[in-house]
Amino acid sequence: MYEPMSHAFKESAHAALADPDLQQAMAKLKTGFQTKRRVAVDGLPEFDALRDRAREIKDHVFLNLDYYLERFEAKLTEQGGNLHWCQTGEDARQAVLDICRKANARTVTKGKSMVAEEIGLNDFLTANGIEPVETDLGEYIVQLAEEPPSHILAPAVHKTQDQIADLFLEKHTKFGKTQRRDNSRALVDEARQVLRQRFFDADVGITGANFLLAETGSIVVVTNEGNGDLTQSLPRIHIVVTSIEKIVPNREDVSVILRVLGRSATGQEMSAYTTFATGPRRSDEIDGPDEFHVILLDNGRSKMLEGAFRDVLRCIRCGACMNHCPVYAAVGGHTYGWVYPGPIGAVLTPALIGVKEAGHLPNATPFCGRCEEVCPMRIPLPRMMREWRRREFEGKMSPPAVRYGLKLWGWAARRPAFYRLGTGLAMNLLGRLGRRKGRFRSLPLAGGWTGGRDFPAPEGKTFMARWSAGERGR
Amino acid sequence: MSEARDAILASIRRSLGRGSLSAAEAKPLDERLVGGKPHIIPRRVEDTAAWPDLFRAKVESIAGTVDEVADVSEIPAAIERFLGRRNEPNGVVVSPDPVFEGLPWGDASTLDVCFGAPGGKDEVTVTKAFAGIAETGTIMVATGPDHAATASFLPEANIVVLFKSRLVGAMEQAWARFRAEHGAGMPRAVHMVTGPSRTADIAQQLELGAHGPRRLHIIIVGDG
Repeated sequence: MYEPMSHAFKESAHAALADPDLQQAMAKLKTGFQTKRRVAVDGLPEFDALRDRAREIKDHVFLNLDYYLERFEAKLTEQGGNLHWCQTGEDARQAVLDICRKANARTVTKGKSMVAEEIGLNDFLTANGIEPVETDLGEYIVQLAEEPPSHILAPAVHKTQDQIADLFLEKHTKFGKTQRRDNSRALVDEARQVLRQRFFDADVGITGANFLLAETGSIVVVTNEGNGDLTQSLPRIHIVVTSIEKIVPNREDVSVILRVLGRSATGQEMSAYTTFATGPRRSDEIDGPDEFHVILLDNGRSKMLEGAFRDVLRCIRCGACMNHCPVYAAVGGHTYGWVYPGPIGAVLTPALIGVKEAGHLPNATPFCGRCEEVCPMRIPLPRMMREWRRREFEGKMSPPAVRYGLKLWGWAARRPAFYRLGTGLAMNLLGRLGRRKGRFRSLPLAGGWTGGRDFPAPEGKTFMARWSAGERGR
Repeated sequence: MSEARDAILASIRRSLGRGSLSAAEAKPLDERLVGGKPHIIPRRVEDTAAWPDLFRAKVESIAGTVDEVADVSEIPAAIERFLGRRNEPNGVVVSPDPVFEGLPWGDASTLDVCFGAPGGKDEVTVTKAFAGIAETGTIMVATGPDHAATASFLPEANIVVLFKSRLVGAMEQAWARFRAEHGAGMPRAVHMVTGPSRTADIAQQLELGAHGPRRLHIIIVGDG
């Protein structure tokens, strides 16, 4: 597990807002992801019905998760695969290392895996003398830059083309690539050439899984580049790093979820490659790995089934919530300080590493509700952020000024007459003070607001007062 | 690791507030597990007569190309047509499928054909589809003695032969057919391929041919 930096959210956010390269890269989010998703969703009249069904399927799975995991294990074993149950990230990393050691592995190729990020697999393998090579282009870029991914789908979305061109020039010189590429086509080609040999040289291939299929013991991997399939087909050993909530009962169930996944993620009706991998190469097959291992991680998820946060386990890691989040678009993924950024991170991160470390995340939201609106699995993200805020407050983890402020407000809000008197006086005062200019450039106790924009002056009376005076219907 | 297994299963049951399921409770789940009951099939595939046009339109919308021939014997010429038009090198690695082995390759003099799995430098492969899915322009291929997984991923161009009788409407229909021919089991890998390989990881600009094929060409073979 890599060192979380979520506690530093505020400081990181200030730095991110002042970073011109990041702001240039993030400005494309709207045209890139939002528009494509809209077009794809509009093209399928059944989209909302499919979302409802997808939610039902996963909720059904969670109520019977023990059953489905046991069936998945039985089917997988029947086909010659090995299942490794791991309670913690440490157990999972060790299980991967043991398999690599036994095979005398020196390099492993990797497809994109958020669970591998969650358990800090790359650093661990490197520390143990095994070289991990990321093969998803975005993951490869951030690995070269020695950075964590900033988006669960587009790990290098925070980087501009110029930054990537400089990075490739610096890191690819040793492969004889000494020319700086000035367009994305040439950059993609160069990465393809450099990585091609690495696919063949690797002793082990590690991928994640989008779904685990109980019906057949298959793992399902969805990609666009084809790197995931070269990673699992060429080396002698294929290791799948995944977690317990990814189970889906059968192939009809997964078809429902696939229809909402691609559209929500990249606006594609289907991603380019959806692979159902089931055990090692059969005796009569031409290619494929000799060994097939599935590392099945819990890491607190079984506990999350309990109640308040069960719904978040439905997440299929499409990234739609972050693509539509105004906070994410402003500060980028690194600001969230751990593996999962954006609204899903604001809910999942406190559950996985504690609200003490990650308490800022559920606070960094305007509650606009866009994330829930676009979530293909209908996860009530704002409601769950509110629940984290409540726990932070009750656990006395927020700063005293915030706690006393909220307490005071809560006391007043429960006394409507008093509340109205107070707001009435305040609006009256602000209305008179601001009448001439219609706005305030600074206000006591509101420096955080007026530091970035003016505060519009109230008109002098509260809504309630005007309503009572009979002013309505306009 | 069986300790971890027991601990995880126990933790799940604790969270759900119950013990392990009885045989009676598991029975409906066992029935569901077999699959075969589609949920929601998009209306766009209702009209079976429109499948070929829908399939072609979908493939072309994602930068794939489609050709159509009446009979298997015309496949080598169709391959030449595709490669010749673009001045491709002529080396072609063909899946060792009995259907392909019996074709009149001698008639296609610009092709240098070999059968088997491709290496890292082979630029063109020819593979056979298990099914084509009209809903999304998707090709389904399965590994076996006659098909290597890498044939779909290593080359610059992948040519896929799809028999018209294997065109279905929705994913679920492809699976129904798969169960009918393969039983309940699965081969090492089943791939659903929807267009050529692509990436938008460089400044969100779409580029084809990230690690897999830059071009995906589908030859539909009629029943003639």
